[in-house]
This record gives sequence, C-alpha cells and structure tokens, in this order.
Amino acid sequence: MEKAKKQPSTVGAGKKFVDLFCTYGLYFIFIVLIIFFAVQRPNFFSVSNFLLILKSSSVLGIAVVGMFFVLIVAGIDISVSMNMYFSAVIGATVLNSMELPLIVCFLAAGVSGLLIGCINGFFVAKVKIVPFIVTLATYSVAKGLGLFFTNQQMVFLNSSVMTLANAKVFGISVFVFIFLGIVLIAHFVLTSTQFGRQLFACGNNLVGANKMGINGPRTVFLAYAICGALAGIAGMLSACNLSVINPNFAQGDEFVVISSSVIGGASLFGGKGKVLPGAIIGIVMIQAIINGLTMMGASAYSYTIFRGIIIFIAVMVDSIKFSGEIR
Amino acid sequence: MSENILELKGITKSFATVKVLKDITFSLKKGEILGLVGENGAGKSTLMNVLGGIYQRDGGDILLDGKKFEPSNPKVSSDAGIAFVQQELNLFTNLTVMENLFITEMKRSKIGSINKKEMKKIVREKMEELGGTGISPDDIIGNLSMGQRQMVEITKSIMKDSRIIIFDEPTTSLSNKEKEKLFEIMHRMQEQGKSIIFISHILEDVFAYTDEIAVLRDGEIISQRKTKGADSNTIIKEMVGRELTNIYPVCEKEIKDIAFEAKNICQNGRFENLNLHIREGEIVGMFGLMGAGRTELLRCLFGLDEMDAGELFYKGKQITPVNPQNCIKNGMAFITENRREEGLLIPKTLKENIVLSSLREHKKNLLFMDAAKEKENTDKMVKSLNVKTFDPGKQTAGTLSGGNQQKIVFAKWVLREPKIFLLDEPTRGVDVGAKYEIYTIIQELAKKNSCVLMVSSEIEELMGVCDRILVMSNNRITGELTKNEYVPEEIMKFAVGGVK
Amino acid sequence: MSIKKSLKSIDAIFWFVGVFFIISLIFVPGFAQFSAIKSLLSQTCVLMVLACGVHLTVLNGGVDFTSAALLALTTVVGGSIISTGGALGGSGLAIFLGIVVMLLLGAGFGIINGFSVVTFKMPSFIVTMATQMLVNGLAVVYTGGSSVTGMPAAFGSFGNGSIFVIPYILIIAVLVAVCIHILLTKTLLGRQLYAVGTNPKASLISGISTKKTIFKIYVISGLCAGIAGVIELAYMQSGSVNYGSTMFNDIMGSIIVGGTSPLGGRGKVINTVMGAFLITMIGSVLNILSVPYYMITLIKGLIILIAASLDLVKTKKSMAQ
Repeated sequence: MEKAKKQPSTVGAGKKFVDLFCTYGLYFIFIVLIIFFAVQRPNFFSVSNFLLILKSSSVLGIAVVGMFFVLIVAGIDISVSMNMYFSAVIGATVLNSMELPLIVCFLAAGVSGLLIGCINGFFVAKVKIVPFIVTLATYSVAKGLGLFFTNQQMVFLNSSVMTLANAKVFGISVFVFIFLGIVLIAHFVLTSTQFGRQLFACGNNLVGANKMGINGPRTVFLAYAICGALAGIAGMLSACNLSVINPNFAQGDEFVVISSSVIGGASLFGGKGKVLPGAIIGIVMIQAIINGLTMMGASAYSYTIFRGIIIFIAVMVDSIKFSGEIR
Repeated sequence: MSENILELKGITKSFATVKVLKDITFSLKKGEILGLVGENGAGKSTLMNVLGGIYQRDGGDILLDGKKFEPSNPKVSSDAGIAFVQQELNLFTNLTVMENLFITEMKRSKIGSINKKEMKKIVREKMEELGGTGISPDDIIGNLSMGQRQMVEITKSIMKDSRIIIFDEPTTSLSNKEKEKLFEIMHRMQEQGKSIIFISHILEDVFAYTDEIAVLRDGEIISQRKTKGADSNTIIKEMVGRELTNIYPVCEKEIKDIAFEAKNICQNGRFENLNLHIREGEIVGMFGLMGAGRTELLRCLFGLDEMDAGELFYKGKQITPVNPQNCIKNGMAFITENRREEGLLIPKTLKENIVLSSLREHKKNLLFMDAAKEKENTDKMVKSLNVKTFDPGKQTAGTLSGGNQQKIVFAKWVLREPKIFLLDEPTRGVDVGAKYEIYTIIQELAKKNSCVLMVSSEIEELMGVCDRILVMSNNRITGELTKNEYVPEEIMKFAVGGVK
Repeated sequence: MSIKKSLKSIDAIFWFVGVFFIISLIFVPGFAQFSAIKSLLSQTCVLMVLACGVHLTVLNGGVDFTSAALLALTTVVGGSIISTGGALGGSGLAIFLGIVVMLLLGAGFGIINGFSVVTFKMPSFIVTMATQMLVNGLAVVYTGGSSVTGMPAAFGSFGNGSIFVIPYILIIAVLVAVCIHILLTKTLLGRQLYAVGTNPKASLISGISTKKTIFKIYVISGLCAGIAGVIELAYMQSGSVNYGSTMFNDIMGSIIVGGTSPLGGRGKVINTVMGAFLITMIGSVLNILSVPYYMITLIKGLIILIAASLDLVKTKKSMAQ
C-alpha cells in the first residue's frame, strides 16, 4: 500500500519538471547562451549587431514561414535548402543574362521554387509517398539542376543587387521589411482565410477533413507549393545578400529552417503553429546563437553540433508534448 | 401535431448476399421524439446511412412531408433538413468551436478574409436556440469536455435549419449532468417544432424522453407504439424475441474451483471497484450493449489500457505488473474485437501469424529459431482448428475468409494453451459454419481447465455456450445469471440499465 | 511452365542489376575490364554495409540518417588510433583498438537514436538527422578539418588485398549482409522486427516488446555504420570528415530500389544488397561516360522518386486483391 501511495507523488514531481522543461526549457537555454555571449563579447549586445542578426534572420525567415505551412499539414520539406539554391541560380541567371529588373528575378526565383514545391506536393498529396522520402529525392534533383545551370561554378550576381542588399529604411535593412511583410501576409492567410483554417484541420485529422468535405489532397498540395515558392524567394534574397552563389550555397540550411519552425511553435505532428510571432522568434533565436558563436570565434563546424543539439531538443520537447496530448 | 414529416415504407437493403434491412416501415410525426431501440447489429446504423444518403436502398419508399424523397447523396439529405448527431465526434481538436462549425463554408467579409464577427454571432444565436450551452465560439475543442464537444456536434446539426435530427447513441460518453442537459436540449428542439429520432440502448432514457418507441430487430421494425402506456417488458421481449435457431456444441466438462480473480479494478473516469472471478473450466459470458464498457474492461485486464488500481490473481498468485507481456507469461490470452487491426499481420503468412505470440518458445537454441518446430506447430494448429488453406507457409492472412482469419487468431493463442482466455466478440464477421467450429474450440479449451471470459453482443450465443453470464451496463456489472436462469428478456433487462 | 514461374518469382531488382550489368559490359567502353569490375566491387562494400543497417530501421517504418555521417567520425577517430603517427605507432594493438573504438562509436550513437525514438517517441528521421549533425560536427572538431593518413602496411594490405578477384573487404561486407539476412530470417529479433513493422498494435497484444525491438535495431544499424567505417578506412587508407557526406541518398536509394517499403514490415536484405550494387554501378558507369556530377545527383534523386512511386502502386495492387 505504501508503495502505491508513494509512487504518484514522485511521478507528479517528475512530470511537473518535464512540463516545465517543455514550456520554458528552450527559452531558458537561449537566455543562458545570450548572457554567456554578452559577458564574453560585450559588443554582442550592440545595436549594430542586433540589426545584423535581424538581417540574416530575415533571409532564412522567409523559408521558415514556408516551412510552417508544410508542418501545419503534418508534413516536412527537407528540400528547402536545395530549392533555395536552385531558385537563386535561376533568378541570378535571369538577372545576369537578361538584365531585367530585380523584381523579375525574384519572380523567376519564386516560380522555380514553386515548381519544386509542386513536385513535392504532387508526390506527397496525390501519390501519397512519405514526405521525407519525397523531399529527400527532390533535394537531390534540385541540387542537380542547380549545379547543371551553373556548370558547378560560382555565380557572381550583377552589382545591382548590392543596392538592394545595402538599402535601409530608418537604418534597418529592407530585408527585414520584406520578411515582416511576408510574415504578415502568411499570418493573414493562416488565421483569417478558410484555406488557412482548413490547413490546420488537415493537419489535425486528414481523414476527418476529407469526410467533412474539405479537399484534403488539394490543401496539402498547396501547402507544399507555398513552401516551395517562399523557399525560392528566400534563396534569391540570400543570393542578393551574398552577391555570389557558391556550389555549396544554402547547404545545411534545411536544418536551420526546420528547427526554427519547431522552436517557433510549429509541430512535426501537424495542426499547430503561429507564424506571428513564432516564425520570427524561432529564426531570430537561432541566428542569434549562430552570431554569438561566430563572435566567439568558434569554428564554422561547431555550428553543426549546436544545430544538431538545438533541433534534437526542440523535437524532443515537441514529441513529449504531443504524446501527452489528448485528441 | 399528428401529421407525419417522415415516413418509411418497406425499405430493404442488402450487402452482397446478406439482407441487412428486410422491411423498415415507420413514421415520424412533426414535433415528436421517436425512440429507436434494438440490439447491436439490428440494422440501426445501416438504416441511418440510408436516410443520410450514404447508402442507397434496394427497395421501398421514403416520404418527406408526404412527398417522395430520394437521398442520393449526403448533400441531398442535409439540404432537405435531415441532420445527424453521430456517436463518434468528428471535430478538429486544434480549432475553435466557430471554425469547426464553419470549416467548409466560412462567411467572407469584403476583403476576402473570413468574417469572424458574423460567424460568432451565428454560433451564439444557434447556441442560444439550444438554450445556452456555456460554450464560447472561441473555445478550442481540445480544451472542452466530451459533453461540451457533443454540444458542439449538436450545434453543427442545427446550423442548416434542420427539421429532422437524428441522435445516434448520444449519451455513451456523457456524465449524468451532461445527459440531463442533452435531454433538455432535445426537448427544446421539440418545442421549436423539430422532429427527433433518438437511438439509444438505455431504455430508461427512451421511456423518459420520447413520445413513441419503435423496436428494430434483425432489419425489421417489429413495432411502433406510443411511449405512454408502453410496457418495458414487452419492448424488451420484442428486442430479443428471436427463435433459438443455431445449434451449439455440447461438451461434457467439469467446473472446478475459482481460479482467476480480478479484484477492485479501477480506471479513472470509467470503472470503480469492479470484481469478477472465473472458475477452472468455466466459460463466463459477458453481455452488454454498445458503450457498456465490456471491451474496455477486457483491455484493462490484459494491461493494454492503464489500470489505476486493482489486482489480478490466478490460483492465488498475483499477476503483476499488468502488461500484455506479463499477462501472456502468466497464461492469459486476448482476442480483440478488431481482427484486422489488432489481431493479425494481414500481409504475412499464416505460419508467421500463428507463432507470433509464442516466438520465444520456438527458439532452437540461444540464437536461432526452430523452423521445423514452427512448421510442425503450425500444421498441428491448422489441422486441429480446421483452417482451410493451401499452404500455411505461403498463404497470407489477408486472403482468408473472415471465419478462417478468426481461426488463425485463435490458433495463435491455442498454441500457448492459455489458462485465462479473454474473448471480445469472437464470432463477429464469421459465417455460421465457422461459428460452430469456434464454439467448439472455446469449449475444448474450457475442458482443458482454462478460464474463459467471452464478451458478445448476441444473447443467444452466450446462452448457448456459457456456463454463467455477467451483464454490464454503464461500466458496471449489473447482473449475473447462472445457466438455469437464462431468459433473454431477463438478460436484456440488466443490459438496458435495470428497468424496475 | 515451372521455369516461367520460377523466373517470375525472382525479384525485379535482380533483373535490373543483371540487365544493367550486361548492357554496361557491352556498350560502356572500359567497363568490361578486370580492374573496373574489381574497383566496382570494392566501392560497393561500404554502401552495402551501411544500407544493410539502415534497412533494419526502414523495416520498422523508420530511417537512420546518422549512419552515413558516422563514416566520417569513425574513420577519423579510428584512423588516428591506427595511424603510424598515433600513440601506438600503428602496431597490431593499435589496429585492434582502433577497430573496437570504431564499432563502439557506431553502436553508441545507435543507442542514442534508439533511446530517443523509443522513450520520447520522436520521429526517427528527425532524431537521426540531429545526431547526424552532431556526429559530423564532432568529426570536424576532432580533426580540425584535416584528414587522417598514415595507415600501417598491414592494415593497407587488408583494405586493398584480395583473394583472386574478390577483395577482402567485399568478403567482410558480404559477411555482414549474410549476418543481417540470418538475423532477419532465422532469429527471434528478426521475426519480432517484421511483426512490429507490419502491425505494432497486434505485435504488442501478442506479447512482443515493441520498444525493446525498436531500440535494438537502431543499435545494430549504428554497429553496421561502425563496420562500414572500418572498411572505408582500410580501403581509402585515410580518414576524412568528407566521407559519407553525400552517401545518404545512395543508402536510401539502395533500400527503396530493392523494393523495401518505407512504410515498414516488408523487404529483403538481399534486395537491398542488390540495390546497393545497382546504385554503385550506375554511379561508376555514369562516371566512365563522364557524365557530370550534378547529373548523377539528379538521376539518383529521380530513381528514389520513381522506385517509391512504383512501390506504392504495387502495395495498392496487393491491397486491392
């Protein structure tokens, strides 16, 4: 009897800790790291550095917004990074060879991204192959296409992109405004349109959604298409920022994008996530850590370890939360 | 008051060769609540699916407002004002009440966004119509209780100005207080001139809240009469009044002392201090209608669902911890009601299925499996249970008939010679011939001193096979009958909640 | 009649491999050479062992991304121990110790993966992706980015030696594949794995500990990665953080082309071995034809997509029956 009585209390305490960790753990780790950076490198906490973090966040942030759409319908898109590469290459080619205005290049990049997104969407929603396998395959395809168009060479962008990359409004890079604009539009779509709400419904219970008369496959397809298009735009923006496209452009960014989304509140199990402020918080947190590590003079490769740890903890928290959820 | 809003005349419906609806004739008056009662499998859900436009009937007429009505698809039905409150809730737990109600046809504002204000207003109005539910349109479904979710589902049914609302077992997951609220709402709808068909197993509720009662049995409406003045014993007799047609195997066996005991089984929100015991060589039947908690009890005893308190004993020795692995180690076996999803490896061969629960016993040495022994035991089981197959090592379980599939599930456990055998609807979806064979298997097991607990929805089958019958209702054991006390009406009385 | 039937019962992948091999022999200049075939066989080994390990996790409906990255970590760590420049000077003890450490490293990360998947119910692909990054990072931190060289002669002769045409490392790789094959078809764990992969609920009710089963296969997958590391180190005579960086697609390709369902429960390891052979062969033929690297990447991606689609069509057909 005593044993039986004792057990619940210890279980209760353990559970409380787990709950607490799940809710605040990541933020706690983040704050500890930030304080550590600030103590070690005083200029980490400067306005200019903060603006730099914001700017670098904005580029990948757009892809994070796209990833939200896919995660909300309980999918995943590993191909984002190579999609960014491929689209940036297309955009840059249009820019360099045709001397068209920059906006057309962005359009071209967006359309290329959309194309990859549609391939993903088709195979996931219509053929019904597991998302990570589909997007793993399109990862290779997009990478191959990108290398094909560049002939495995570096591509230098026309100097006109520098004006965009350096343009500032109120001292803040225009990138930030582009990012915010996309976040706001996405927020509107997700919270205030029927399509947006149906995305959440599909992520929660796809079978039920189909029963209720929602066109599930179409909704899922569109989520991947949107993710692709946004990845394309993010790729082009990133290219403008660097003004050069290396053959290893965006490599590994898929992890940054996925972990930012999960930290920002999207769930791998679908049906959850607020782009505003989730996408912003997620990407800024990660970019701040990366920035801090850079200032500490950490080797580029130690990022990989940190990224790995971050994505691991974020997904662990997500999984624990999900298994405690009653549906 | 007395004009018929809905009339059904001689509706028939067959699936393949099985006639599920034989002759459905009944009428629903305007502003009336009609109670529809019947055993599990009497054809209620098929009938409702015909009305809802999901199945097409084979024959007979449906009259709506005196005019012929053809529910050719679900939309036709809902446009005609027929709405359903299903037993299984179909709600998105991550969305708000309002969003769930409008998910496929949201109101738009000028700029193309959804008009939350207007939708909320409509939801509030509709909920007001139900007499106020205390639910805000902004509540997330996941945060609501089962009762509140049911209210949302009911609200969904009246979103389209429905005139006929069909409640399918709405009370199974509700607390008493929530139940009262539900009946209040039904009454209110009735006052607003809506007609209601109320399908329920709880006879007490049917008597208390309906105007008329129709009894459905084996695809036929046996009777329809005014509730006032109706006698519950007559209704029960009509529900079960079937001739005993099947023949059951007779088996000489000896029932010995109590061997299996379950004491004070508790599960949060469901069971409270449930006790039961089975003697060696005894087959105990367990009857109950849908939602009585029979399946849940078996799952609890086998450790599939968590048991909050309670102890299991076999011959005085406690079985602990209660989890499937340990239960099996202690001689328990469990046949679930869901053969395809929980019983079999559908794409795998019969051999793989039969040895599944005794893989460890088929090891030749520390490393390898004993293929010869596997084959030998498989052949033994296939032969003794008379499974029809061309080659148990090649044929997959998916290609067998229902009866033979069930025999494979039995074979899996019989191979282990279980001491305590829990069976959940062992003859569901099995043809008559195979049923007889399954009864024989069960009795053979009891003869070898096993304790058998058999859940079934067929009174007749339990009476034919079991030495003792327990009846469950509303998560409690409400009755116990020994072999000489078997009368279908008596058993049904306990199952419908003990009518005085 | 019976010949026709027995021909039909041969899995599609064998036809692919056979036909592709013959076509290459005839039409690809330089392929039909002793040395080309021998180097092809050597190249397959690492992929084969890795794919065999990951095959187990795919049978459970999961995946193991870590294994390719472990190639980098195990070769640099093992290489630094075995190397003549190491503390033990490339002695026999060094070789022994190095191999043990490599295997332990592989199994260790397998334990982390298995534990996370089982305890936290995390999706395997994301867990193993995270550990993959961890492993990659650790490899680079360990070496500072440079590669590890200077393997002792004894180790080198193991890596590049052969009995007649059959390289030693191929023998090791085949041995691993045979072990996995026996594990799957003849042992308790194998039977439990197929059952859990097909229907976890029914397996649990039948008394199989699904958690233990899943945990074990991730450890074995990690161990296979360790063995692959040993083979790679012996063959290449050096350890590098770049090893395995693009290997994962090939692993997944081998498994899916071999007809193993990504949904779990179905698939033979022999077919995965054949798949690995096919993928390597395609790679080297395209190389001989001097098809650029990007086209090879693209083609391999398409192969995965097509093979997975075909698998689904097949599954749907068998469901309809």
